[in-house]
Amino acid sequence: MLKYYLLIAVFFVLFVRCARSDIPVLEVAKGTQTQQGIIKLAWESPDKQLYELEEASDNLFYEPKIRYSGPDQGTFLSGLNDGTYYYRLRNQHGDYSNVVELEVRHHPIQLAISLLMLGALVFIITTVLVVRNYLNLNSPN
Amino acid sequence: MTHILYIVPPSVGWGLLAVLSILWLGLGLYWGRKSKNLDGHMLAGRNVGMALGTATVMATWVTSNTTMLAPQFVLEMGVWGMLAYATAAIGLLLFAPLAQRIRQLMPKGYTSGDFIRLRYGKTAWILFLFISVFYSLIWLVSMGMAGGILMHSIAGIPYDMGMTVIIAVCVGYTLFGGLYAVIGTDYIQSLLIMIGIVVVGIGIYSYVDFDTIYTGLEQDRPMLLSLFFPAALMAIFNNLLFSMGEVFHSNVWWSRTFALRKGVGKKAFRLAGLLWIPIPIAAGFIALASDSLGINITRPDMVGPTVAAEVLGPVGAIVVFIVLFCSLASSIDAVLAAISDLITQDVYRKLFRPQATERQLKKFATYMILLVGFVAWMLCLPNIGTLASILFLAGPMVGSTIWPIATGLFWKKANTKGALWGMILGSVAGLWSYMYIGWYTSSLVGAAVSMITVVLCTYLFPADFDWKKLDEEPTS
Repeated sequence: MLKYYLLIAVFFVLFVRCARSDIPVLEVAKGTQTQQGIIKLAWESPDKQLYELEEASDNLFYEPKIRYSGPDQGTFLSGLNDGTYYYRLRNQHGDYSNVVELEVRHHPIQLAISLLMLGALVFIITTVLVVRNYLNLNSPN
Repeated sequence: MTHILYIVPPSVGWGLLAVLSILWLGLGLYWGRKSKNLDGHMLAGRNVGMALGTATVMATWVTSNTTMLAPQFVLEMGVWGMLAYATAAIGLLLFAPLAQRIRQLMPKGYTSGDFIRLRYGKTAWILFLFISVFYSLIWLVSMGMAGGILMHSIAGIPYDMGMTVIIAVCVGYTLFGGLYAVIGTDYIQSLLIMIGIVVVGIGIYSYVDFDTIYTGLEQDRPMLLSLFFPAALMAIFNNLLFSMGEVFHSNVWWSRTFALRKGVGKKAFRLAGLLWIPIPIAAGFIALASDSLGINITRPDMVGPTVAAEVLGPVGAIVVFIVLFCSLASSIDAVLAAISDLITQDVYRKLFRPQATERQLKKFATYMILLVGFVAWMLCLPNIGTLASILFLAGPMVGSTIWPIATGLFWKKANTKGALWGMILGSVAGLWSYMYIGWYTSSLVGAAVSMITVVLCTYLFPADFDWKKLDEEPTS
């Protein structure tokens, strides 16, 4: 009996490990990749102050875009196109954080279409299975 | 937590929490007086009518998943994400005919585990129990976490305190009142949810400008509007099949099927599915408005409540708080009751104490509610992952149960080999896709592999099942 309890315990431990979020959380400079076009950025500060988060397509930030401005200590970005993005943070004193690099590479569209069609097929067959058998069982004949 | 501005003061949050907790516990005690025997405690006397039946099905399906995960889906997957989430109604709609079939075949049944044991034998039953309990715990944990996150974000109540209170309150009234209390509170909660959603919906739609939203998204989050967003395309049928698997296999829905009066189940599930569809669309849409309203999102699973509460101000935040508390409570109680019934009936009664009296079973069921609540609370404490990544962890296993359940109810030739290997191979393949492609593919892959396995085994090893075996007499 003990071995079954051990097996179940191992299973749960493995699953808790697997349950980590797949959203990249960037605290400081750390290159990362995403296939969903999302990124979660967080920063910490002992005192309350205002920040500006800059985004650019080059690491020299020639034409930065302000993605967030305010007192929060993090932000979540989504819907990014394929490409390489650079982020840095500026506090109200004008100090810049280190630069974080994000690489967005969406899944190949062929894979997405194939899985979409597979899903549609499973759904249609399952619906036919349920509806047809139900109607057959309830028909007067 | 990185969002540091609370929408209502913590004192108001604690006040609301206290009022709602006292209300549900009081109602649990009141309805608990009806729960005199095992059928009453587990299945509300098997006599629930159309209005209560529809309300309980709808309220249970409007979980944290609808109110918090649907906006997260839209924020991450865009317009396709909104469609993907709305397809979850199909699970309820397709279960409607199954509910009628289940009542015909098993008029004295108690759990989904009963069906698998009688239909496919002990080995498949043990695997199914494991899948079902694992999924229910994951669902419970995702909702407990959602409660803690919500109360912290809106009212600044510490995560562990908020999460503890909501789990404790639900354990309390489920313990006192059994399924009577669960269904009764679901009715009131579904009314509050619908009123709240209408209030929030009207408020949001009068506030936002569609052109500004579209322009903002095109500029800052272009993939959310793209027709060729790969992850979102994969998520459409993944979410549909995940929700179908959830409804088909979970004892939450089977116990409602057994609790509903004969002839009510099909209509109640169908109506609840139709009533549910607009809720995730409305909840999801507001996520798209966050940028144009200048609202910073720090946690994707909080986008819905954050936008609604910030746009509508403190009064709106109170409405959002009540709606979400109700939607969480109406599902946490259902899952607590369903797991407790499953373990009481399928493990304690069938494996250890076949001669147990009704009183002993009822007592054991109450202990199980306490134990399950405690385990869920322990798992919620570390606050790992986002709601989506937690919930979809169970996706492969849930998806792999669709075909064993559906064919088991309709095909005489469906057999143990097909059910067992369908669940095993479907789960393994789905887990592989969860790890190597993404969580938005795991149920789809699990369901597809399970379907192929079940069909092949039915063709190669046809059984000749006698449907009368499903009409089992209770043992005590």
